[in-house]
Amino acid sequence: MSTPTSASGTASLSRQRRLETMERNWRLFRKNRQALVGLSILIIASAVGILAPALVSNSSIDPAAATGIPNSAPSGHAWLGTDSFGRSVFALLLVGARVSLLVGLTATAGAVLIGATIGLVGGYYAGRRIDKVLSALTDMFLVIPWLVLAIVMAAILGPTLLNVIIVIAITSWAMTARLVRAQTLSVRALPFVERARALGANDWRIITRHILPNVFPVIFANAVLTVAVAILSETTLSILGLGDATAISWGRIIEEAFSGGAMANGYWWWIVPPGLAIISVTLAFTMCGYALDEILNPKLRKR
Amino acid sequence: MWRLSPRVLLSAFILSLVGLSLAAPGAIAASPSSSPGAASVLRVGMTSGIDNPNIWAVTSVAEWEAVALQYDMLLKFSDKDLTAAPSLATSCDHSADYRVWTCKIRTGVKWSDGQPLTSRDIAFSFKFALDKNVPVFAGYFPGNPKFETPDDQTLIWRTKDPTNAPMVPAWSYVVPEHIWSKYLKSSLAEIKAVNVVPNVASGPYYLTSANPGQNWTFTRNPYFWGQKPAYDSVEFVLYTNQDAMVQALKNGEIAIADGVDSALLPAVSKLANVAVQKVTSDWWVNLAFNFGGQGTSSHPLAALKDLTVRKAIVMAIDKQAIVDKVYYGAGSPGDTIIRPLSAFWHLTVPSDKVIKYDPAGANSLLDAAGYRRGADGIRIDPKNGKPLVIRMPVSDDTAGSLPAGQLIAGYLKAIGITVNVQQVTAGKMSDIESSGNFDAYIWYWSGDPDPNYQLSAFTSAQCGGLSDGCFADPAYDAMFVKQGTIFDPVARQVIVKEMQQYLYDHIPGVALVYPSAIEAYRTDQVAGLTSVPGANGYLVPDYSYTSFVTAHPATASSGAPSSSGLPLWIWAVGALVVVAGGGLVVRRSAKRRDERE
Repeated sequence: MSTPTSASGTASLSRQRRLETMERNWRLFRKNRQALVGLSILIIASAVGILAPALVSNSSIDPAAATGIPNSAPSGHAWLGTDSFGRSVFALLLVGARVSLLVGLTATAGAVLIGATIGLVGGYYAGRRIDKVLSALTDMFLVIPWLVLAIVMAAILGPTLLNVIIVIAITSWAMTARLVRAQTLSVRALPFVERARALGANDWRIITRHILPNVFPVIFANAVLTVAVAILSETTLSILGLGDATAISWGRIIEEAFSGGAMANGYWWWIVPPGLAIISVTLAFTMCGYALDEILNPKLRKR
Repeated sequence: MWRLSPRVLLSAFILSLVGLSLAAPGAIAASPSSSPGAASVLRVGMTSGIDNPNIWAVTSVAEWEAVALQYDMLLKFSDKDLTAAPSLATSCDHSADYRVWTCKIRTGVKWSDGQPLTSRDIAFSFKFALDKNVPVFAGYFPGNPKFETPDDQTLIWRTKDPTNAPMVPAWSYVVPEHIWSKYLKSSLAEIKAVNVVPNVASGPYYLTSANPGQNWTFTRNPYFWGQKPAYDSVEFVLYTNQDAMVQALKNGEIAIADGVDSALLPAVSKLANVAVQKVTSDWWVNLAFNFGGQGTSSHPLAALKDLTVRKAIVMAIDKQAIVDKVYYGAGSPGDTIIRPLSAFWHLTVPSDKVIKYDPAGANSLLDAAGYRRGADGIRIDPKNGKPLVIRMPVSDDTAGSLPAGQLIAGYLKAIGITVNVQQVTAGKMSDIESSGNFDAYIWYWSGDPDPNYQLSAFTSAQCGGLSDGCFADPAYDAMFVKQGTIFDPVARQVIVKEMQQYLYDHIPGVALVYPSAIEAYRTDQVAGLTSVPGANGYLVPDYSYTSFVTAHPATASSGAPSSSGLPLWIWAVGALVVVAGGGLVVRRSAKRRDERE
């Protein structure tokens, strides 16, 4: 048994150690040029997403209130031209950042929550029946082609933003679960877990206090990569007409451009900017994700 | 382990395709059209499904066109205005009480297999459609008529009640008895599954080969009773998307593109040697209001029962802007429920009765009626204190319904009414319509050239049936019954126009747009097409095959290959960036994997 003073001492010590680790990781992250490029793109995109309501007035994205000449090429009036309603594509792009990032982040949160829980439980109870069931479930979701599953689910649930988030979360968690299970397996075998158990800690305490903190870096790096996938998934669903038709996301802009004949008519300004936005944000998340992966996963760290 | 999975690769691939197809318009060179001397083929591109060529299974637009190309009716739709005109019957005369119609059948008509076509074939076809209750045809024989054939050249159509049915004209085609009499005992499902290649028909062309989902070939009927068509064969070619069809038209692979999306109008109009026909189409876009009574669980917004609110909504909607922005100008603002294609019946609303686009007027109308704006700017119903919020599903089988809905939501927001637009599939829309679980919706109407069907949809008898939102109005019901008893077209026209005015004034819904159907054809390949009906009609067989009988190859004039008119370097740069971006993801992913192994 430890006295209260020494307990707080241990706490401050561990906090200090955590701070040191974070500092070291940040130093490593800074040295990675790709990671920094990715991070700066993300900062810009997030700022746009957060500030969009302030930057773009509601009336400039209301189809009925649009004042621009429909389908006009980029000019001083509209930097990125206008769509078939006469709305500025630039304004749409700014607003689209909000929905695209929102869907990407929430769907990832959902996917990681499901995946991490299943992975932790499965890994901790490896070999038992519950692990077999969860592993089979994970394998099943890995094997089913995600696009087919997503299309079927989206068609059944109906095209609302929440449903799109649910569909993406449900089709994206399996990889995380696999990964977390593997990491949990290796952490579980470490001596300190056995020591905790010898001291009388129950399963819940061991999983939440001892295993989760050690698995967390892996979950985090994986989550950043999953965001990229989620944003692309939202785009794919929107382009296929399965997204929320009333929420302007980058994918939705591309879908409207398609059905508005942008391809055949040569309205490139309507389709290229959202495409580039998606590519750059996806790429940014991927860059950051790989860098974090390298830093947080000791096995991958370059010696 | 967490390499970016096939999903990222797939998405990158899709985006690359987007980039590449952007570059495509300039990249594909124009290919020469068919060489002279070979058998002449009229190739028609379409995007609607060509699945089953069996006449009893007809559903898609293309399948209807195939039927119209091959078969004859007793009386056909006239090429001028779609009223009844001589076809297999040279004349049909009625008795004084309109209970007996006697039709004289053309002599010397033969099927494409050389067998003679007589009045017995016609009587058989009509009885067959009635007995098998073929949904698309049986409705044209009200009152269960008896058909008699005293000789090969006479058909007698006898009913208990007076009828005008043969003159509508009855939109049911005549099939050969010697082919279909084998199936008298079969079920409709079995009949629909019968293989009809090669087909036996009486029109200018008959189907000789069918590759489901790819193309159908029709060969000239050597026994056709009318003018000899110029083309040896006609081919329907299916395209999976509009861009591909327009590209094929540009390259001269097809002579006619049928059913071009209005969004592609700017591109098609720019093509060299291509003429565009804007057809006054046979469908119109309907904004319907729900009055309750469609289903037991129907609880629509009560304020919509107030004519003032409905009138304010009409005043707030800029129909011309919907035509311009959603349909790229291909169409005209709607006014009455009978589309202008039925020129004889359509009422042009007199200018003193037109409800004009006037959002300010709409606002003052609602202000005067006591609909005060709440704190959030949404008006409140003074009778029950509920805010004016309209649930408005739009059907995905109606071209332009979603952007039109978005525009309407914007217009109504300006007069303090919230509209929640949701796009649903046509199947879901049927459920919504029959349950009455909506406040308003956007869907389309289409039907006969004769107004009876369209007028019936607004009677109280159709509540829970054809009716959109159960607009039950005894005065209108009485007018509908009356028009059904008048057989003189000119006398009937008067009351049909009165009914249209009545609905325009009482607003059970809003005829938003009469969209144009767009057909484009290569002037260097085909000439002599006939527009049916009138000048702004269909060039492909829709109501009549006349156009493909009069069509002939154009005298060769080699047009210079058209330039796409797009700044090519922009496509190239765009495609490059997209592909490079995708490639980087892929490469990074591959690199990771290598390091881990």
